[in-house]
Amino acid sequence: MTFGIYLKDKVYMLVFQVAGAAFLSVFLYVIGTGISELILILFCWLLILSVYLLVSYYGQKKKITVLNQMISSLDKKYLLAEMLGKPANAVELEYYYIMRRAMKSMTEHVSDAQHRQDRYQQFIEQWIHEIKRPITAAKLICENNKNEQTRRIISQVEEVERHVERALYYARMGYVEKDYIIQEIELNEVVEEAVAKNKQLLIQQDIKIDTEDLWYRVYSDKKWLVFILGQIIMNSVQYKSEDAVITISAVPSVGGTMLKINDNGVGIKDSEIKRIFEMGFTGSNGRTGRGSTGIGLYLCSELGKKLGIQISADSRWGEYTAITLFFPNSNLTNS
Amino acid sequence: MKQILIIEDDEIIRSELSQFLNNAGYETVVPDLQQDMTDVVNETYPDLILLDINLPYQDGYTLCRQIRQFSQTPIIFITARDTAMDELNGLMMGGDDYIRKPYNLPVLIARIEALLRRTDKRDDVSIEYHGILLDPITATMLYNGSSAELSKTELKITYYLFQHPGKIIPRIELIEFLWDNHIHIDDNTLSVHMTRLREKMGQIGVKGLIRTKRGMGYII
Repeated sequence: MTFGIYLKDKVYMLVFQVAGAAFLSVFLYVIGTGISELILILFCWLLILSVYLLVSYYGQKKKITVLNQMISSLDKKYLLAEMLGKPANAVELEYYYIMRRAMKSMTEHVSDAQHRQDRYQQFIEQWIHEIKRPITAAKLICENNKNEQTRRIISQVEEVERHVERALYYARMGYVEKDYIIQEIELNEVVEEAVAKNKQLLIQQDIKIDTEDLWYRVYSDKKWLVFILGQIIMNSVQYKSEDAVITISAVPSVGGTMLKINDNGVGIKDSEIKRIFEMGFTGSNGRTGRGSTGIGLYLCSELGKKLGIQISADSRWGEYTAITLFFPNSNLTNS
Repeated sequence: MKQILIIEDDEIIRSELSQFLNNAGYETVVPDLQQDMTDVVNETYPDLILLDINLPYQDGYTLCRQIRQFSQTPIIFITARDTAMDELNGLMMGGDDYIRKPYNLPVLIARIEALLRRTDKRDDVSIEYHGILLDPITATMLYNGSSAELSKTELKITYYLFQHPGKIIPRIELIEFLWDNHIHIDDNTLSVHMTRLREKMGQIGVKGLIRTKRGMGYII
């Protein structure tokens, strides 16, 4: 708040003062006061008024500065009202009570929403936990009675599993940092696990998977990485073309290791490639009725951010799509 | 035969898992959970324990710790609980491995094998069929003094067929077997490999051994 703005705020008072001064001058002049006395009186008036304005301006300004400091030091800014002392000024006190009421309702609202969110989260986790039991049982039953039908059932069950996993990891995304164990892993291990998890579907879709140089080691969380790879592989399957081949290879690069998942599928248009990691984006490929949800790659890139993996995409329409995961060398790996 | 103790509260999973492990060549012990598990371990003396965490009478972590007090038997946790904390807990209590439900069965078998470090790994032993010797270590096929070198894929295919003589092996079964052995090929590629394999067999005088049953699969 500058002094000018403050004065503008007080414009009615100033107009009133000027009017008062003018009225007094006329009155004093009429009753015969001399010009010099009049000037002295007006000068004193102006002096007192200026001092009053300056003092009250600095007073106000100080209060605002204190408030600003307070709010920027607060983590949850809506709790400001709790931190304020009671003002001495009667009008400010009224404002203070009103603000407190508003803030109180806000705080209740927030904690209520938080509470509901927590309960929902708990429910989802519990639910996923429970649904894993019948999924496991169904897989075992099919495995023990292998025939054409049960193979098809397994591939459906694998799909159910993928959807369940997505739900779980989406629910967990808010606190990935509490749920990982970083360890040294051979890329081969995670790739094999991700492929094995979707085996039936990949076989039935006639997908060939080539792997190259996957003996490089990176530091990451195995569980999350398997999930990310699974999503990328499934994405390739969804947009496959004839004679589908997925090539998974690792290359060392400046400051880290790159894992590349390359397919010979339908590709992504140049105009859309920037948006494929957005939530809900399915693009013109997705609209051709392949049941895209636009959530798989979004989850990958979000999880990647949390795990410190850079995920990027490169593609040519009608030819290929390549998703690259870059694992930076941490200080840990250098020492 | 190696013996595996399954401690799991879901009856269906318990019996199906037991059947699956039997098919994979393991003996299983499936105790009723009302018994004292430490007694069961003491009596049956298993080579490996598969342990669930959510159990009705006593949770898996505690059980694991108790077993560890008197036994070094490898323990694999199999559970639907899958946070990093659960995994750490499991390993701190003395578990050797941690597998999440729904597990992938070939992965489960691989982990079990890794822990048991089975010396009798079946596909390292050479195998013979009608005078044809297949040596997996050098990846060669010997017949009447002549030999042919096989690729990894060809070796695995031959090996599987030799293990199941007289049985029609559907193509899908062969492909699944190959995928479980980290060779991820599609149906067309399998045909290519079969053609090449037959050529190589022909070169050393093995002709017409692998027959194609149209629409059903292969048989030797």
